[in-house]
Amino acid sequence: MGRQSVWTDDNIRALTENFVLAADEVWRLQGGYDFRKYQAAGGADPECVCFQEMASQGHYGPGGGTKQGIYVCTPAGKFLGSINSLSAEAVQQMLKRSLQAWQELPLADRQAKPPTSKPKHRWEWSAPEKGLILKETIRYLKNGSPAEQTPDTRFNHDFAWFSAEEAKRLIPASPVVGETHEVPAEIYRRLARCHLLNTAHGEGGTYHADQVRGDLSVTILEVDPRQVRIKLSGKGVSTGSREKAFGLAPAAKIRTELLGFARFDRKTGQFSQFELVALGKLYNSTEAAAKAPADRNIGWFFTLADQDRPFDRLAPTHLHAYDAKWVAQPSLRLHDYQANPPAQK
Amino acid sequence: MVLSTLTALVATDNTYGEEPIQIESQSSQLNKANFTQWRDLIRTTDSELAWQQLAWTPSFHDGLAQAAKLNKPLLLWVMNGHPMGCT
Repeated sequence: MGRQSVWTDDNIRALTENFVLAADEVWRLQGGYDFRKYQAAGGADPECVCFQEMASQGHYGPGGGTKQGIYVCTPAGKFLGSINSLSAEAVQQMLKRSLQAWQELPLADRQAKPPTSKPKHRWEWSAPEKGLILKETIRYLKNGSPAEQTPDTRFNHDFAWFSAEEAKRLIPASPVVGETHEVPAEIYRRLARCHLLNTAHGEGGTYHADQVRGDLSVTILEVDPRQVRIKLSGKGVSTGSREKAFGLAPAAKIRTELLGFARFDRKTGQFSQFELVALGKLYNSTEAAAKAPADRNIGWFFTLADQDRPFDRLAPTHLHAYDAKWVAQPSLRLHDYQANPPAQK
Repeated sequence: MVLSTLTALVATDNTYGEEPIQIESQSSQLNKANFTQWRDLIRTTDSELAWQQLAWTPSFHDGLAQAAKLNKPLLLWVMNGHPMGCT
């Protein structure tokens, strides 16, 4: 992956001292599948339009389609160079050419003020205040026990959000040690639809609400006036359909088991510790029986995000598909996605 | 035992689907004894996240503003899914 092959290269790391570095999600910036259709439909977010004009001069040209890659531009958004490559050498050459182009620009161009690029909508703005903000790690696993394995190099990160009200529903009003209750359906459903996905080596599609089934329960382990410690456990199965998929299709079938431990601070009304592991068996067929050997194994780990780290404040990749009223949608939706079928109970 | 006080908060259909859940025959690999082993196998190490040690700003707009402030060109990395998240 580029983030390992390119950005760990010593020559490139030295070159980056000459630049301000920024990373962003391209689907929103490029206006979905085709920026020309986005603009024709009234899409006019200044940050997106600024990117679209700049990137149209890049390696993928002025047409629609993906604009993924690495770009260099002036603070005013004037294009200087671009590439989409996993080769450190190729990226290094592009950066050198772009830096030379920058140095050859008239002073007025280098000092030109930035364009109006203040966004009208970003998904990060919906981060739930005092909510449960989880960082998710996804990694392929091998067969056998954990002691028999070394970490697979294919992994990914995402974030899972629950509002303060949703998170509090994991803890009963009068918790009693030893008692077990099932968690509200929407919590398991959100995890299964938008997070327990085959995304260890790239983005994957989400499931519809009627494609996920499972149970997740909370057992009270400890209670005192300050905190409540709980165990989370459950199992589930998700079955995808290429026909029903919007965009990328999810895995045909995933069987999951979940186990976690968390500590809820009764004074702040927030979780002070949260660790949830899920193991999954991926199947290429929706008809795979429960005892059939998996085509691939996968694991997910959820823990509290560190809000002091800027990149722990990124939005969940599939926030657009959350069934949550507290998520602010953009005026022009790029994802025509129905979170719940009309007949859902 | 399901807490009666919580029952009202829980959706009436907790099978999350119209058909009964048929996952009981699934063998379990995950338990309290091996929980930390699975956790440590899945979670990332600092060395795996070396690219995050570079001083990335988290958006195109923020990057342009910072570039103007420092009078430097902007290097922008964009992917399907945020490069610092799920891509």
